[in-house]
Amino acid sequence: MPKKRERLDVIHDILKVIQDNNNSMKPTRLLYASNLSPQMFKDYLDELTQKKFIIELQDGKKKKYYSLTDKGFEFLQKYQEIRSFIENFGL
Amino acid sequence: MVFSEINTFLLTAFNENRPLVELVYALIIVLASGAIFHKFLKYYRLSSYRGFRYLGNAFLFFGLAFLLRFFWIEGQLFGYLVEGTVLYALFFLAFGYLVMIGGLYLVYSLIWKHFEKGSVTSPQCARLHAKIKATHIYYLHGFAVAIAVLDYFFSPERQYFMFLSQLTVIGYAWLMVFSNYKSQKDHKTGMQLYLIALTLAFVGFLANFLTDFIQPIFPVYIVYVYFITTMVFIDMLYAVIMVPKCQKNAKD
Repeated sequence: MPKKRERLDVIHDILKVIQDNNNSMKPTRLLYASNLSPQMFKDYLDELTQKKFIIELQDGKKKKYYSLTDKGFEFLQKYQEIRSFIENFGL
Repeated sequence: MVFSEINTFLLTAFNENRPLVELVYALIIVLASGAIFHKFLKYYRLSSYRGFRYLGNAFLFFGLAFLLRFFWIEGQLFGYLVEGTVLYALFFLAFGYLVMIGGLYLVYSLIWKHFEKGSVTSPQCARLHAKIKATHIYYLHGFAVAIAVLDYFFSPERQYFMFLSQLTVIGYAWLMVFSNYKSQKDHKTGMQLYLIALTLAFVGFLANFLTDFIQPIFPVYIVYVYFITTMVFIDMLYAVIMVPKCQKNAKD
């Protein structure tokens, strides 16, 4: 059985998907890519928006999409370092 | 012969320059603790991962304890702080509390996942567990206050309750980190250094606990106790500096 992803890993996966998609992704596609239930997905999206990791924008056709903020990029950049600290100090 | 000469030199230097020794000792520990706290706070702000906050808090409290200790000892050395006064009692209680809560936060940083299980898996659980977590933290503070008060009334000379509790707490943390270390195939540098820091911390608290019994027959003993305590914080700071470097090297 695959190991259940931790909160930190889910956040990383969501941000990574947006980054790999030219830093722009629509909510429905992001939901599929995140592999989460709609309720969980909403919770994560709220948290990421609230913490300013992502920003909700609208395109020319008034359709919603998400982009990473500087803080979101910083999280992705430091993710391995964060993981390394957690493993090294047994946190 | 050489060893005994070194010991005599160390003890003379220690006794003749005590205020300066205390200043350097406090500076090293407070600065190292501050740097460790700052690093973990930075990661906590970025990731909201509670383990960072708990370990960071441990060093915040250790740093504050040694800062307070500096003023406490210097006050006594220069005759401003006299035993039996209210101010002395406040310093005594605050130091005992700060060291104890630091040790408790250190252990909690290793076991918090068991108490706040869901908080690492979803934001919804994280919010719920933030409320539960507050209760655990109150218990930790309550325990630290209780130990400080017990020492004040029953062990005002050497704070035996605090030292015995710290030995238990650090010993438990050491066992947990050692078991993590043994279970990993590739022994990580940061974990090795953390294990060394905890070993030194245990030895340091044990040495402090035994001071009254050993120092009368081996006066230079106190200098070694100071040295071991300083090494704990230097080693921990080194571990915190080394982890990102090792991770970067592994990536390259």
